[in-house]
Amino acid sequence: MPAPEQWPSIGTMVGDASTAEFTFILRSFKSRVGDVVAVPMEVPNEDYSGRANIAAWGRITSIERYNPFFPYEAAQELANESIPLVDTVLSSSRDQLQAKVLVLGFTSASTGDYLNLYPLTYPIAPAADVRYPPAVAIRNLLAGGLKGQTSLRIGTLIARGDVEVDISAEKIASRHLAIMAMTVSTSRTPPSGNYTRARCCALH
Amino acid sequence: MPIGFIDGGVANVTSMGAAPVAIRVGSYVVVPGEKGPEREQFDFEIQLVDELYETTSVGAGIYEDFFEDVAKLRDAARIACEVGGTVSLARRAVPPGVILLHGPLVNPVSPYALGVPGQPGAFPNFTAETIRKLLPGEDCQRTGKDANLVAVYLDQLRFLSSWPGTACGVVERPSSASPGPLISRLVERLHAERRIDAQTRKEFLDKMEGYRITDSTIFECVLDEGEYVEATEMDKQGPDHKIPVAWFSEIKSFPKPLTTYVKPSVETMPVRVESFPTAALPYPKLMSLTVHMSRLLPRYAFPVGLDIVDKHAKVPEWMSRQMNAMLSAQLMRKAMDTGNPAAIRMVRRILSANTRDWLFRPDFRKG
Repeated sequence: MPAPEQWPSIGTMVGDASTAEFTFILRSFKSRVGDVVAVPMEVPNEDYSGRANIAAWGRITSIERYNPFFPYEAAQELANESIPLVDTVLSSSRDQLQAKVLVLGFTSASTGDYLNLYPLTYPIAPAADVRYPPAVAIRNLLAGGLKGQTSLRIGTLIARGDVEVDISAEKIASRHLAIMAMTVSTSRTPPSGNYTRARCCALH
Repeated sequence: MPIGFIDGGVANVTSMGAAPVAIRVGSYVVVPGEKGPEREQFDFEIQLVDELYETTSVGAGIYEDFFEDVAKLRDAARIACEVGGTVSLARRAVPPGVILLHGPLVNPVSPYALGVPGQPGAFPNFTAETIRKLLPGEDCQRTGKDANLVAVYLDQLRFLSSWPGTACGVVERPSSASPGPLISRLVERLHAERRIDAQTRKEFLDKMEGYRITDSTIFECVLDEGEYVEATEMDKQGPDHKIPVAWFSEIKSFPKPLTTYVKPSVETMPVRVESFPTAALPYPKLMSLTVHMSRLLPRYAFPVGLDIVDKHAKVPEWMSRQMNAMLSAQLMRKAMDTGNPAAIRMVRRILSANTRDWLFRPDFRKG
């Protein structure tokens, strides 16, 4: 998997950034609401003696689309006269997309299999490149910790059909067995065999 | 038919002891009626980001030499760039049929024709690199008078006046001259054709001057929506006695544009349109095109394509601010490198805007 700096750039951060959210100008047709994006950046290291490379992760929560070259006055005139825009000299191709991103956290910039997410504690750099992570990176972020466990496919991300989402079958089973055990121990009458069989079937 | 629009943008950059300049000429070409990605094209025809004049001998800078009036150097560079951008657009493999320039098509050059290049105090020549940008498609090396603004600008305008398409300039801001050059020309013509006598001519011109009636004001009263004044050939280079002798023949040979005023909307002042007599598009069609494009901006009443290219070419304030910040940092570093406390103190004072200005005069509070 390539390093975060090599992931495709889809926009540039604008305005003030915080550790909770930021805004960026998005390239046309390169992302949509719900997408997970990343910003490679530097933060102070643990003992403040140097800098560490990280990837800040976020989810696009809204996108605004506007055309700065299209005057309001002209829209009124087109509407009044019922003139199609294509028949005039007006411009319709210079749309600008401004996306808002909710920061999820950060991971190390290393491209290992398992990306551990921590809360972001240093603001994202202004004018930073916002990048579109490959499917494998997002998979590692969401399900990288399942190594050695039985993965249970529960679907794909809504905004990214190429990112499959798995959960740990062992963790699900242990959680449900724990619930069942608690139910059995606190119940006056033992649970019916049908219930136990049904839960086990649902898990496997 | 593709229609092209041209406008220039100048960055607001200042620096002590130097004259940096950043000019860019943007273009917008659109094919009305067409759909798809080929419908619109935004581009920059010319970008000049450099020192205004050469301070070293490495061939950098826009001009070869220093000139006392830096504002004049900047103006001349902007004028040549805007027309150069129009030439560049006209020279494209598939040029637009009509090009509209934001501003006059022909500017007076006498204020810049100062002295002969090489003589002390003369208006400096453009460097070879600048000429390459201003005259796209020309290969020959220019020296002497040929590298001066007058010669370069003349060749740009000669190219446009013989270009098979239509190039025109549109000016929406009224000129302050009274009586206006176009109305004066029309009155002179009426007098020459014996349609008014000398007394009426004098009375008319005196009243125009006395009441400071400009071309825009008089045509605002005369014209109705969609109407225009019959185009008249105008010599933009002024009276002969104001033309410097050293450049007389060149300046007298500048093309004379057809000038008119057209009123796109009843609510707004007319706009000035300049074009060459050789333009391919018949004049009534050019006027109709101008009126219809202006009606898309009913309040400002100005060809909307020029408004679009104006926004495209404009150098945003944040960009100028960034350049100024960088230049200030460099200036401070240079001062600190000298190790001279007086120099450092002076630069710090300049950068913190703590100079002796009327804004900083002490105020006297009462009571």
